[in-house]
Amino acid sequence: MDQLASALVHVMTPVPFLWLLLGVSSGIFVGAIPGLGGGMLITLVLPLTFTMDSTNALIMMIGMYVGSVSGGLISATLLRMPGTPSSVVTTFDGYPMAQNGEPGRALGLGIGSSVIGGLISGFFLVVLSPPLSIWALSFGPWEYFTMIMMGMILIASISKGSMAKGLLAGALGMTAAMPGLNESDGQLRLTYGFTVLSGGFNLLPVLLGIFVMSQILKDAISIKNVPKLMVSSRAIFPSWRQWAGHSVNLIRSSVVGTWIGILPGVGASISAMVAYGMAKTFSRTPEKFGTGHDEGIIASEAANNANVGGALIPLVTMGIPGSPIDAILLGALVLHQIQPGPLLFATNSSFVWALIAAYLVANIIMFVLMTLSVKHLARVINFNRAYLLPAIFVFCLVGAYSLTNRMFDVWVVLGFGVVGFLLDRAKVPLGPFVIGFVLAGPLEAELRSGLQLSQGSLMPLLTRPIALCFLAVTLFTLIFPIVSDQFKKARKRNSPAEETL
Amino acid sequence: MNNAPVKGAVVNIVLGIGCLAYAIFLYIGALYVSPPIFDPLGSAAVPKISAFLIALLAVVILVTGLRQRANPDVVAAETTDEGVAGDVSTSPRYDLGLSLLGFCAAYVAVMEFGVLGYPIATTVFLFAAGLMLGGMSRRNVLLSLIISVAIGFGSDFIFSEFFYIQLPR
Amino acid sequence: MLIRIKTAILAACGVMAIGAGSAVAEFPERPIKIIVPTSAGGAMDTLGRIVQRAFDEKGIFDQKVVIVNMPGAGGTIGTRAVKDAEPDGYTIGFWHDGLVTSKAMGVVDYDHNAFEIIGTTGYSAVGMGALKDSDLKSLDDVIAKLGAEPKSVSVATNIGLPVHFNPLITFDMAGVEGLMVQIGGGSKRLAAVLGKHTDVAQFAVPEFVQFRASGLEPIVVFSAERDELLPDTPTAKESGIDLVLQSNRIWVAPKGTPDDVVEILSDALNQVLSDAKVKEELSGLGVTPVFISPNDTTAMLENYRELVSPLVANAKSLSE
Repeated sequence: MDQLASALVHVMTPVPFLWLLLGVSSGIFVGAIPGLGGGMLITLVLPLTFTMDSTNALIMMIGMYVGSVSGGLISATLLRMPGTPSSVVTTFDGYPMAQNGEPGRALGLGIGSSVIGGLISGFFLVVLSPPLSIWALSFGPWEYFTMIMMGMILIASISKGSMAKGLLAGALGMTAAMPGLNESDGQLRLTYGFTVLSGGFNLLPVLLGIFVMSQILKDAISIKNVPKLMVSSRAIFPSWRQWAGHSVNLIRSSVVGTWIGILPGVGASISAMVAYGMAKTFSRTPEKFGTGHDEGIIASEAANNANVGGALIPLVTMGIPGSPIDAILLGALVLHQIQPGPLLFATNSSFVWALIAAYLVANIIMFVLMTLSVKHLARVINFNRAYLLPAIFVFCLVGAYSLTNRMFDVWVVLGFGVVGFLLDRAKVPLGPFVIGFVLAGPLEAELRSGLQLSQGSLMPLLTRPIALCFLAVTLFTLIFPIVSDQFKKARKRNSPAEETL
Repeated sequence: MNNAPVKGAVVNIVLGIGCLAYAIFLYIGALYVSPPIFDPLGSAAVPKISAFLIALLAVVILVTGLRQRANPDVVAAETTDEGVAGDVSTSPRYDLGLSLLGFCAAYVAVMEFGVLGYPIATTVFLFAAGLMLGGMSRRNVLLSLIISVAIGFGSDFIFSEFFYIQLPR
Repeated sequence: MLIRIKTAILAACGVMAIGAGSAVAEFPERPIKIIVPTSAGGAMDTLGRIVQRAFDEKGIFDQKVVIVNMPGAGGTIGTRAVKDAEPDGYTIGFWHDGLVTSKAMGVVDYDHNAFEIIGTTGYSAVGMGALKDSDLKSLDDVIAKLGAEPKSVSVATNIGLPVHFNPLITFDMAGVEGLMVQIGGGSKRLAAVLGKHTDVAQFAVPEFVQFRASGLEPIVVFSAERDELLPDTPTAKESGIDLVLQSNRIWVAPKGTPDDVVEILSDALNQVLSDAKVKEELSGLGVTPVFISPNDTTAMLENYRELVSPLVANAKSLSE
């Protein structure tokens, strides 16, 4: 604790604080722009930090990481364009709430949940890092498989409207994850002879296409009658009592986000999806999800910020990156002559504590900056779309292109933009499409790894306790609605006095 | 007024047929996937299952669409949200959407094939798209010009000189 | 076909340029792109950035050197981009022995012979490790267990890459069959072994040193002699498996790049690798900072190709 206190004091001294402030503000800025994200920003500034003090450099990068994950909620809420992949789920309820005339409240909920999620995972980072990272090791292929399947089933009925269309969207999204080199057997599949497809479709371009490009087209065809939202877009925070009413959701989503952050190779977008699904399952009003419901925004934003702190846990305790951005941070450590690994805490403890302190302070700075600046940033909601839409496409192009340095990824943005637009016209929900796309890859890969381990047997599903728990929850979620439906119908039949239809 | 459910029915029929075709395309692709080598399941299983699932759902939607077309009045209640979407004062300007898409494609293509570099292509694209979407008023021409030059060359300067992104030249 | 003809013409132009004499003497006249076949972060990308920074800081070229990340498809998106680039020395790249295994797996139809080899900027000695309290204390234990019961030892791998093939080769030479499990990149393999999901996995020697505190214990190294970092760990040779493997960082240029341009690049890499700071940074990455000449690199890759190629054919024929 002494070390944490002195690290906090160090981070609050002018020079580190200014670097952190710069990091958080630039992170929020790129996070809010669809196409640009934290990973890209950190990669790009990395060469510029070579001449900096290594602690300051890493502090700034942590700030960028926290800022970028938070900034994504602004465009997700106001434009239905997720600024970063981790804020995809925020569009489900943030945008409808903003369109219902409460953009300020939607932003307030998002910002508040972000800082709470960030600080809760910060608590785990400070207090429980070593045991959590050891417990995370107990997750093998079967645990991953059942956990992801549980997440998928929990949100299967994520959207309003036709059930068949929701499922169709999910299945179509799953197929978008299939082409290219398959890691389970090292073979190409579904490339139809095009070598350009050998890498498959990357996450970012598909998300940009499905959500951002399709929205650009959608806004373009209705550009002459975009309704002006006259309501102030200043962040409006719910009262303490309302926050208290959401405390279970906040804590649950933050724990989910932290935990998924700890697991290597499972991204922030997945943690938001799982938290959203759980919030919906445990909600008393699940039917309100997707229509601009508080609980949806809270679950998504608490989880994706908690994911950042969670992903730092294996990084500082074992030298294992919990997310792609942590892998970049790990590379930055090496370039700054700091050897990551399980001994980092022992050999460089003041440095590690400085990172943790920076993470905590970054969340506070993010909260203050977002609250102050959101009024100005929110003006984009009434910004002339004739200038806004083309400019957003330019940023999508830069973001998609710089990912792999090929134009192919930009064509993917355009192609999936058209697909998303057409599906939306046909009233096929886009949320399940993206969920199918994001979850299908790990779901199949983990199942096949598990089958390799068990030599084709499905028995580990029953013999491994954690996997069995996830499986039980999954089955329960599948069966419960049917049973309760039957129950309700039976009750209705027994009370003929009730008006039918 | 009565035309919305019929339109919804046609959309469902087209969607059903389209997805059915995609499912077949996917299944044929899965037939060419090499047999399982390093694991019992193999790479073809999941695509095949997905193709079946998509085909099944496509048939469901197709049948719904055909039913809706046969008796639009009965299902009018099911498609209530159609009314909300169609509540806008003017009809959707598909021409604008299509043109914007064309502009975007042309913008990407000129860079892919090395006709123009990023700064010039971006400036031209932003200017043209701004005019198309915003109209030809003098104010709009001026504003579009300022914005396109600022973003086109400004972002190029930042990305190339400061951040070393290798944008097409 | 068209591309091949184009390459041939460009190659011919390159040869003419050498004839003229002056054009190449000026190399480089514009920025050099280093294609990294992974995304930012991770050991390969960091190696590229160390070398790039050294180029810039030491002013070896008058021109800027930039890193271009082209991840995807097991590195083949990046290597293909290098292969198809103009052979003028301004687009180069590096990769590991996956250059050979990707062709063996049938993912691409080219291997190291489709490139001009610039050289190798260091290598990692590799070995296999198990959990400290596992009953597998040596390669002999693993082979004995597998001999008694095939597939009784699971190996965390990344299928189609050297970490998959090296254990395969080892078991093949010992006449036993291990259980290969797709786990993924280095940190996921480490987690799989530490979490007791798989028994063993291949790691680089410096990783053993780094993660020993977590309970990872080396059981064999594939070097010619015992590694000075792990003096207590026997070599595969000591267990009767005559196999020497290492993980190389191989720099390549498109086929047809003029010989003297390749030589300039080769010298530049050699010069960078002799720098004390670069050496220290590469060691931190788990890379032994030794420059290996183009000819020796090619010989190593040919040798590896001969080891790897029959294994995939075997695996495929077994499955059919």
